Amino acid sequence: MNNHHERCSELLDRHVAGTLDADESSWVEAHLATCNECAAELTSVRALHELESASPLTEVERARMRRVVLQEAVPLPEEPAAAPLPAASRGVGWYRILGAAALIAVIGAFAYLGFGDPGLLGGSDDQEAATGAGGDTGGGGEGGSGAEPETFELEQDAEALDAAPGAGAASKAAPPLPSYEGSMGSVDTAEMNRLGRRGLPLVLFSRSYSVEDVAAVQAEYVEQLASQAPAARGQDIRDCTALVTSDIQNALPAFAGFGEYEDRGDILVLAFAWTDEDAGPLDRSMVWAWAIGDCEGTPVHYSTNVIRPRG
Amino acid sequence: MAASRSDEELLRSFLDGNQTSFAELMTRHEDRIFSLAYRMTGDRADALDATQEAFIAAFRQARNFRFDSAFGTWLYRIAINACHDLLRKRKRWGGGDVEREDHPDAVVGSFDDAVVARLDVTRALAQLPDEYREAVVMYDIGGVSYDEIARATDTVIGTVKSRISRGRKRLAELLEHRDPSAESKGTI
Repeated sequence: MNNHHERCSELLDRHVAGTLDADESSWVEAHLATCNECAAELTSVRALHELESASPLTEVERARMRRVVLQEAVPLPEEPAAAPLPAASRGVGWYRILGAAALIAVIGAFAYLGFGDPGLLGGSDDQEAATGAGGDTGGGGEGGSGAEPETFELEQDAEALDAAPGAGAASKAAPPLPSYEGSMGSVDTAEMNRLGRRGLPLVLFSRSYSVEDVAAVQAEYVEQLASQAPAARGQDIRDCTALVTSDIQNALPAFAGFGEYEDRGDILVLAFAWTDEDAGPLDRSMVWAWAIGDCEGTPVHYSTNVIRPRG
Repeated sequence: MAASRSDEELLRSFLDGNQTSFAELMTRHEDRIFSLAYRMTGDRADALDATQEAFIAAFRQARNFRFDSAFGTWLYRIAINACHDLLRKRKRWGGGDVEREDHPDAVVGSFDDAVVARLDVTRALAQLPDEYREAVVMYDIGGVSYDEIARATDTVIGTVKSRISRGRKRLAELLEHRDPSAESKGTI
């Protein structure tokens, strides 16, 4: 291409779109009048621009497409599939998607969940520095009070639970209760993933509760969790938990917290022990995060893991 | 709240295990990909199918993304291929006539000019060499920049410009020499 052809070719798209300035437009018109090659290009550009546009995707089309994409895209694991996930108004498609996407986390996810609640296990120094009692007794110290925020311990040794003296007995003798953990501070994706795999009392819930217990304690535990948090956050906990448990009946909330997730701002975190079986232990964990006050919006984070049985 | 994350940051997050990040990428791009697919297929159901296939392919190939081009452009290439594959299966490309079974309501002369024109263009596009078609579709339909096309196709800007120019000229020839009797046969 010589320079004139090249320049004209570059400008044709905007010429057809009508976005050239007057000088450029005049130059293109003049060149087209004398150049058959560029005139031919113009024919094609016009034809391509005239291809009719689609009317916007409907919400039904979006939801169906998203569901199909992620159900088709995720290779089925040998492990049982994740349970159906909550369907709620605007979130219908997303939760279905996440139900499929969650299979990714299930694959190879016989992650060993381990954590010793200091109150139950007696606790080492590390455990005292971790979550649990501080968050509970602090009545939810996050929220800009200026107090040192409670923090989640995300790096607990996965072996700590079994290694701790009396851990097994403790889990049987004193079933864990849901705990409001206050502020997690700033977290990222990796930390959120770790949150679901280790370092938190999900394993105790798994070992302490079964499907048969859920109906008796679920509502009570939701309220216990919500009542530990500041009032506004407590309502978020109720709303978001209801959304999850409306579709996954065999789920118990283990803990909740708030934090700042990457660049997404303030989030609510809810962790559950759950199962998609009709009986037996709650053999899975799941961690959800939503933007504050937006349970029905697209979750900021979702992950699930299989909890390896003791032994 | 901080500014939203880039596509590439979302993809890294997805690859790191945050499953919601891919869903967010879908939200960002599904309209644009659907629009492209509709322009290429001219059929809403086909466009939905092609869009789905494009995202499924992107999901499965995410680990192959090299992060040296824009995610959106990479996805665009995948979508173009998805449209191409779908239309090839539908026999609307490659010079074959549209099968009457695909359009049971079609009768001679029932297609309006816009439909005729679109089918002419899509069939002509199908006859372009792959590298020409890809460059032309990305630039003239998708509005992708020369630079992005060059990075997405592992070539240089000069080659991209050349492919677009040659593709357009070839397309014009094909449109000029289309069979004027096709419509009278009831096939387009």
